[in-house]
Amino acid sequence: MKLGLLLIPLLLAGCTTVVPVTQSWPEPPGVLAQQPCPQLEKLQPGAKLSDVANTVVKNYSEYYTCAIKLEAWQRWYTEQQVIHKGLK
Amino acid sequence: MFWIFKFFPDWFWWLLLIAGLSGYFLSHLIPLKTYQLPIKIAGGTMVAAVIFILGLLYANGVWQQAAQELQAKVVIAEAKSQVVNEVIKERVVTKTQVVKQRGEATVEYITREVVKHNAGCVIPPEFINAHNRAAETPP
Repeated sequence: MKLGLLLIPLLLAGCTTVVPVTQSWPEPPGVLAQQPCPQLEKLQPGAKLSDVANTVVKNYSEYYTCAIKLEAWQRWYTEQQVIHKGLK
Repeated sequence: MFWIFKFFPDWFWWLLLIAGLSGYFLSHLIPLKTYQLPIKIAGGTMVAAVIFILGLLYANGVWQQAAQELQAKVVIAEAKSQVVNEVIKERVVTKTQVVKQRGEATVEYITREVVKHNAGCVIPPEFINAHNRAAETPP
């Protein structure tokens, strides 16, 4: 009985498959892409025409900056997916 | 637990296998029936155990080799990933810079040209409200 108990771990050792493969999570595409998109700027009461134009320009710029970040993440995902699939 | 099997060199297990086989077959030559059966059982058990261990070591070797190949692929993939990230990073920086420059140029234009029309154009509060409503972050 005792011998049988001793044999169990030895036999179970055959079931162990140690696969020492380590893969780190891919790095994000830079610090800039990780910054969240800011809120759009609003107009102050009594704003002049130039203030309106300036605010619109700033908001457009924010949109394009945000679009660049989104595009970066989309590209990052697509490229990482291709690389990851190459592992299989 | 596996280290127990790796503790002994490979030739040791082959030696045990030969010993087990020899014990099993040579037991037939022993004239005394009293010793014949225990030696036969011991030899057979030893052969079975050693075959199990040899199979275990072989399977482990195969797994180790596969793991090494996969690890090499992972290293290459990580390097590729770094290259891709650098390209994307540069792209983000360049494009952001372009957007910033264009914005600055437009602001400069507003300061130079649009300001002239400030006095002649009154912005109604409804317009400001409409703009601010559109600029509000959705919940």
